[in-house]
Amino acid sequence: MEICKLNADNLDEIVAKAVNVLKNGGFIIYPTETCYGIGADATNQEAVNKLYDYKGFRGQKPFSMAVKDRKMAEKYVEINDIADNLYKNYLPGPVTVVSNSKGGVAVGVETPWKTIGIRIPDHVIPIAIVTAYGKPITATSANVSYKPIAYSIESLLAHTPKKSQKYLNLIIDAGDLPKNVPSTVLDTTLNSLTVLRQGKDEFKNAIKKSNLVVTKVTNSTDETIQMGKEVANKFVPIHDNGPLVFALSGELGAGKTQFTKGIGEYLMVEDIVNSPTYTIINEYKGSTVELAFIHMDTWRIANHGEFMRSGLQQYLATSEIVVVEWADKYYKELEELVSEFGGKIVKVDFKYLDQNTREISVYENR
Amino acid sequence: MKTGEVKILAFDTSCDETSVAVVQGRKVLSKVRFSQVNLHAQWGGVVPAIARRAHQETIGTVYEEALRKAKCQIDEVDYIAVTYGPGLAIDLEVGVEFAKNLALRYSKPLIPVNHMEGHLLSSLALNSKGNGFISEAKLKTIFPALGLLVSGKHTELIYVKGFGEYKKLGQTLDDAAGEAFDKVGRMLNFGYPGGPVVSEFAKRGTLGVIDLPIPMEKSKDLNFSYSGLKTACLYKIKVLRESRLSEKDWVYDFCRSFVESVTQSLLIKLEMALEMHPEIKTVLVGGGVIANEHILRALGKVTKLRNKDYFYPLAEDRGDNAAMIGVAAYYNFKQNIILKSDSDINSLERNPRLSL
Repeated sequence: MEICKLNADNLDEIVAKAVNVLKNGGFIIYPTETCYGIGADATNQEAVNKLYDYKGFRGQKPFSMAVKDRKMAEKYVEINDIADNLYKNYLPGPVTVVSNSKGGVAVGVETPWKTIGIRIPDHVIPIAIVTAYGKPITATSANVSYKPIAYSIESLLAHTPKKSQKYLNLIIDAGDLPKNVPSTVLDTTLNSLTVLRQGKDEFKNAIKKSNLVVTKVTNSTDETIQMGKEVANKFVPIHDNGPLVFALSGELGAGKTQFTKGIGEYLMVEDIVNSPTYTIINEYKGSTVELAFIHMDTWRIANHGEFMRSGLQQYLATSEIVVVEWADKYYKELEELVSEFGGKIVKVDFKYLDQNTREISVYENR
Repeated sequence: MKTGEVKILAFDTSCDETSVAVVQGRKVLSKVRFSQVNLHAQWGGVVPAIARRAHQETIGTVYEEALRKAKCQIDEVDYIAVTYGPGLAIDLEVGVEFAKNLALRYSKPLIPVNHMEGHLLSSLALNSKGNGFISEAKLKTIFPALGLLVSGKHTELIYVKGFGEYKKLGQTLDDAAGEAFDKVGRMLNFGYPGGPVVSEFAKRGTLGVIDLPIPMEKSKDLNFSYSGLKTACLYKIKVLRESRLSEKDWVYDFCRSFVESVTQSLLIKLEMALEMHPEIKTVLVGGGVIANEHILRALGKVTKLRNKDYFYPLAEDRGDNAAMIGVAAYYNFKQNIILKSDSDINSLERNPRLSL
């Protein structure tokens, strides 16, 4: 075991030593912006197996790996939209991004679910080593399992049993590191990207084929609620057949739920009309009409199947008054269902103008 | 706990994930969520956790796994319990139907449970070794209590006179606190669910760098509201993105400020409720947002300063789960809220808008 104190002049020399250790399947201890890490060649199966011995009991818990940049990461993983955002905005930095593997790394770095956790440390040492070595290295914290996170070499060695210490070939001592929390692991493969699915074109086309009933700029949530009330007053009294559906489209915070509160007020719903994002569908009893008032939100609905299984059809079949937020996501499906039950769709488009002002436009079929 | 306590098999399908648990008294013998059946090891502390809504396909598997883990046969179960609301009708139906069929087939009485009562009583759960935060002796002196339930769906203050005696003091007028977390996560392009990422990033941030409003700071009632904060975040993010700063220069501080705004909004209403009801002895918190340690501790500090007891669920019981449904069922059993005859069992229907 060699301990090298890092100073202004010996970076190149230390990097050369580290590369040599990695080549021979050995371990290095290196500083990062979070804590000291332990590096082995992430593509060397024998080295990674040995790392499990060093760490002690950790089950199947995988090791993340450090690369020098996004280009190097792309050799080993698929980068999806969510990961793309993280690479662009947060790396290099204290974030580990988990993506689907393309292979080429050792088992233990690649998980049983064929994913890899990747770090681009915001620290000159690991970046210089990975650049010189040309291959990714493991980026797990240097402490053995169930021991304190190491912010200094003294503390690391004090808490590392002798049988683990014998694995260490090179220790790069950069002194006491600031006590930053370990990197945040973000798994981008679990993200239901379909939640972000947009059916905007269908909604836009439907608007083009419709008549504009009213458009208005509201300057407060109260005005948005008031407009919902007025729009309900325009359509509810004259509606005679099938379900009456208000299809709402607009970005987060555009005022869709506030507008729906206004419709609820018109129907004299006694309960508080609040967001159905998590419940998907809220059902209320109105006082002015016999009908139930149904408030749906498709924001969390991941796909066509979930939309069709949401229970909306039952409500359409019994001809209720229905509000659907994020209606543009499943507009085609919604239109088909509503026409099947002989109902009417009123389209409401929300535009965010300023912190408090919204432009709200209401359309009906010609 | 003495071994003579009743065994209850509890189902919850009111949320994204199918969950089944076996409890004995308030001791949790097993609890299984669908994602745990197929995915064994995991990355440590990964966010977000996987969840999906497919109760019909998963409930049988989860049920078997829960019995297996509890080392228990269906014959040894005394009661079946099920969440019948609130939640999405079509999801609730799966659990209610499954539990009804099981109760009828094996001639077991059925205990209907309100999901919110589950969250409210989640801090009473004991682990499989019988350890927990509230002793039997303490339990006799916790009422009247104040429940604060904070999740993706709900943000509610409940006055608890005793078991089964609840009165809602306040609730959210628009978005729930947990929903605001996920929506802000979405604005920051963290995907869905982005709330846990916001919580994690906040740990790296500094307070006071970015200014966000505290929701309902001046309101005189005990209601909550998060849509204004959501809009303020949207605007602030837009301004920050148009500045020359790179996203990572502000995002951690932004998340920190957001968590603080939510924390303060909860603290203000908690203090107001304790002021309005000085006879309250205990604060019980529950719901997924309580998993945020910063919020959990801040609420506890305010409660303790007023010399009230503060109880919260074990880390693994803070989100939606059937264990808390089993615990709530146990107290329903003690109050004899039990469906015994076949016709009573058959008549149980899901109630999507069920409230405390």
